[in-house]
Amino acid sequence: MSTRNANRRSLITDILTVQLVITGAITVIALAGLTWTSGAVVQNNLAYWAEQWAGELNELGAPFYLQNHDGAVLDVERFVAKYPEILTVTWYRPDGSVFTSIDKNGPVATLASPLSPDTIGELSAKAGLTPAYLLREDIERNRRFRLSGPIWIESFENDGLFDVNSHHAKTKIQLLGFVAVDIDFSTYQTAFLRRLGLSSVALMALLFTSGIVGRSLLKRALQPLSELQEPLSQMAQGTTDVIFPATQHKETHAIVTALGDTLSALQKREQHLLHIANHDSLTGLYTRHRLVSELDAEIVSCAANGTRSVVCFVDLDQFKYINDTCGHPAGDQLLRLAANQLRSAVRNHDFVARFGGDEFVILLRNVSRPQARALARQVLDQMRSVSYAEQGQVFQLQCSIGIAAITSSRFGTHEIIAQADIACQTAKANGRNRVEFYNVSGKQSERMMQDVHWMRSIRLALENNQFLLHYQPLLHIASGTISHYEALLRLKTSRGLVGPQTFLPAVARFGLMTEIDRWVVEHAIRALAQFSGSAPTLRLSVNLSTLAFENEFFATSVRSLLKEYGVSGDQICFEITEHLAVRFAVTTNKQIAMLRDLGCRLAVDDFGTGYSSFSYLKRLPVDYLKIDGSFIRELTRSRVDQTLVRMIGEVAKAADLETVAEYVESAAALRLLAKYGIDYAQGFYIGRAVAQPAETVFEVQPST
Amino acid sequence: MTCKLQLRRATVVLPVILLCAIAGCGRRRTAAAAPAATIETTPRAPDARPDIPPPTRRREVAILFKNAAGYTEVVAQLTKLLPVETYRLTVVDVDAENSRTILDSLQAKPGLLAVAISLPAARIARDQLNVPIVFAQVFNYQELLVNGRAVRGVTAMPPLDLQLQDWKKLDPKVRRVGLIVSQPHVDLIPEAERAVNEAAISLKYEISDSDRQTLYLFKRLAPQIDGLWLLPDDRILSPTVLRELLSYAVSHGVRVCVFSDELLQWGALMSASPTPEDIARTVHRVLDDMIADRTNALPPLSSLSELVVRINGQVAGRLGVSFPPSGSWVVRGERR
Repeated sequence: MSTRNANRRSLITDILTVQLVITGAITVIALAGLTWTSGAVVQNNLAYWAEQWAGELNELGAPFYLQNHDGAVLDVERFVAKYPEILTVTWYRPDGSVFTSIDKNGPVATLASPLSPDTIGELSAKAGLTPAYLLREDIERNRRFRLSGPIWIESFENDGLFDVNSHHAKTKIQLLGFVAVDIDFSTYQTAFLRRLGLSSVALMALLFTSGIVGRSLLKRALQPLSELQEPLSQMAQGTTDVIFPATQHKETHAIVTALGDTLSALQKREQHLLHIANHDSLTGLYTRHRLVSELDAEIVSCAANGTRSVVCFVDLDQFKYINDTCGHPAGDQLLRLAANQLRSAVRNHDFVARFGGDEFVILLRNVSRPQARALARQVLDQMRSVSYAEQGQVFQLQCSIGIAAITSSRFGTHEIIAQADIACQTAKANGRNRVEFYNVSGKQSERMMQDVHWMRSIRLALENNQFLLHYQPLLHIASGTISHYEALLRLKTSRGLVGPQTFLPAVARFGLMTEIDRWVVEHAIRALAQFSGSAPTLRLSVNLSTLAFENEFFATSVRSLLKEYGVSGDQICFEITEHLAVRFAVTTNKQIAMLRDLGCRLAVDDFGTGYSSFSYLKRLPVDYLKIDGSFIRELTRSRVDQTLVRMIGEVAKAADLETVAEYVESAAALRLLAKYGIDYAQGFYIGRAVAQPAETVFEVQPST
Repeated sequence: MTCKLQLRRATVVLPVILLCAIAGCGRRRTAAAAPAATIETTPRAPDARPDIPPPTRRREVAILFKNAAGYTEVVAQLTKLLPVETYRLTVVDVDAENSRTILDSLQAKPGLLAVAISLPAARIARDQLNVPIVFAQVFNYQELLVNGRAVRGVTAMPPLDLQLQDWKKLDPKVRRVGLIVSQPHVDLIPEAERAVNEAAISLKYEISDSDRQTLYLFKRLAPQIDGLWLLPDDRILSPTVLRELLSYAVSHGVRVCVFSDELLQWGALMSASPTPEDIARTVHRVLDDMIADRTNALPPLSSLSELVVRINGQVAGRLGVSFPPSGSWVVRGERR
């Protein structure tokens, strides 16, 4: 977490940076504008004052008309000295030659240059006019300029004062010379710029200080958000019992409230998931997964405390018959009834779980052998006390119970379960509806050891990636091309590769089917990605167990895998048993719909062996029907099989489904399949399972 | 000298007349209390002329004038005043196109006398008519008084003492008066000094060479005076300076007595200007003396004896000067 945070920017820094950048930009623009306008303002101001000075100087009486007036010159010098911006005042004769020049210190020794004829003309023309001056920046741009004007005297002609307001009153103008005032406002500008500079420095210091203070204030202001980091981190790690700090700020309160709501929802979801994970959706009993955890803990407890507990493996008698006879809803109802009875038969601190199908496991804690027997009999009685009526028939709920003891940690959970299971099998073999204790005899023990050995091997295989997929081609009969491959699971053992028929019973027994399904799906999708280069149009069929769709997130996990490996959904086809497709139609349909939305295809495997009612075909949301091999093996010799296959083909076509025939082992069978309109063929005649699929054209083998 | 004696007599008689005028013996003009008060008619004072034996023949008199506001009224009064039995008048506008022709025709007339109203008219009379000349409304008269020529004139301004006494009466706070004249008119300084002495007022004067210098000198004088006596010395005045000077005077509390009511609107407190009637009477008197061969006894300039005072009510109010509701009145003084 600290490493991650070290690479991240601080929000406070970002805010302050933006603030400082904007403020800095505004400051720079303002200073530039001030600097630019200061010159104009000062110049305009001094131009105004220069005009006043020009009038003042003229009024004071230039040396021209005050030649006999000593005081006047002193007045001019005093006037010049009073205004520091006046550099020099120069008087020019009418011919432009310099008459005299003074500055702050008095008469100037070095006189200025004479006026140019153009200037003389311009200034002479202004005599008697208003304004009678010229303003030019002819010394140093923006810092010094010259104000010049004519000096003249005027008088009335011909006693004109007698008619002073008349336009006939003529005056006579006599040009005496010119005066030029050189004004330097650089002092003002320098002073202004100095002040501007100081102000800028002060402003920068303020900005810097505001940045520091602002950072502290922002940090403080954002502290409520920072305080959310720790609980959020805990939430991200999966902890849901976090507490968000109370806040008094409106904005953070809304966030905290939302987080609180989110947390509550997460907690509820967690509880819900926990409940789903630990409880069977049909019966409400604990799941096998939870059972294993419970047994693990019980074994440790018994070993540590020297107590004795027992595991009762309960298998309903004749459940399959009832399920097949009355249908799945009846079977489900029966299972619920059985679960209720089991719950009510045991003690509060005992543990009851649904092991799978019609199998249940009860953990009786801290019981002696007689007590265990008594409780088991009580369970039997409780079950027997229920009669179930369905479709005009009444069924008695019965079960067989096998008991295995937990006395130490010698045997693990799965071994204990296996012992109880074996005991249950013994009870069934001995007539059902009875209780049997596990007896460590030779065959039972050997079988148990075998099952446990497979269980361990499979676990190791899953951990050490000892499974692998082989691919058996399916032929598109009409085109004669290999359409796709079926992915078949193999386990690497010391004796070589073994097929699923060898280890699947143990997989099912020990609840590892879900892991196997997950492994197969992931590796099939990975293979599609791996072979995309050499076989870009490769498609695979993957077999799923009946437990696959018990995971309501199965479709979601498939979507994630497709996305992770960049594989298109239409490259994969999931094969499910007819039993799963029909039996769990309600739950599977939703997942099937999600898979179909991903582009995946569905196939019903071993079609024809389960429910022979074709009415299900109309409701099955699948793309293929895989005709069970039992109809294909004897196809060339059995007219019944031929008729059945033809019928299945026709009905499938009518239902807009494609058909696949398994176990095609001869050319004659292939020809018949082609004749019957079957779409695909699979079997040794077509090709055996290989380690790596390839796009090939099927070559017709010599007829057999 | 004669002029001075006459002036002294006038200074004694004048207050009496003034008192009579204040008492209501004379009729005062009423005028609106506004700058440049309107001109009211002035009752004519009875002529105080000595009996003159009737001429044996009518004398030709050419009245030359410049057609301007300051002169035409004088000409009108003159033509009304001069008796037809004595004078045959020819009025000539010197700006008219045919003036030269008229003057040429007049030149041949025996015994011709010329009356010139305005300096341009007087110049033309001097240059084109070799006859005795009586000029009026000429301030810069010096060039007209040529040796060997029978040229006499009437002062362009009312007597300074008359002006000053009325000014003092109007505004008792005036104790220091300033005067700026050009070099040719320095002879006015003694007259002014006498006038102020009699009125117990001090006088400060400056001599200026140009309008700019006048303004400069006035601004230096302003802190030292209560009022400025502005004479129609056009050599040292210009429209710009006049405006600036009067504006400065108002802003610095200096009362200005001007020579023309046209300057009241520019910021003068009061104007003391001659009346056309008095100018005409004085010209008449001079003419009679010239006809009676008393030219040599005549002073170069004969004084006027009457003035009309007009007040700028706004300036007066600003300066705290009270004045009669009429805003103007006529002051008369004896001369003979």
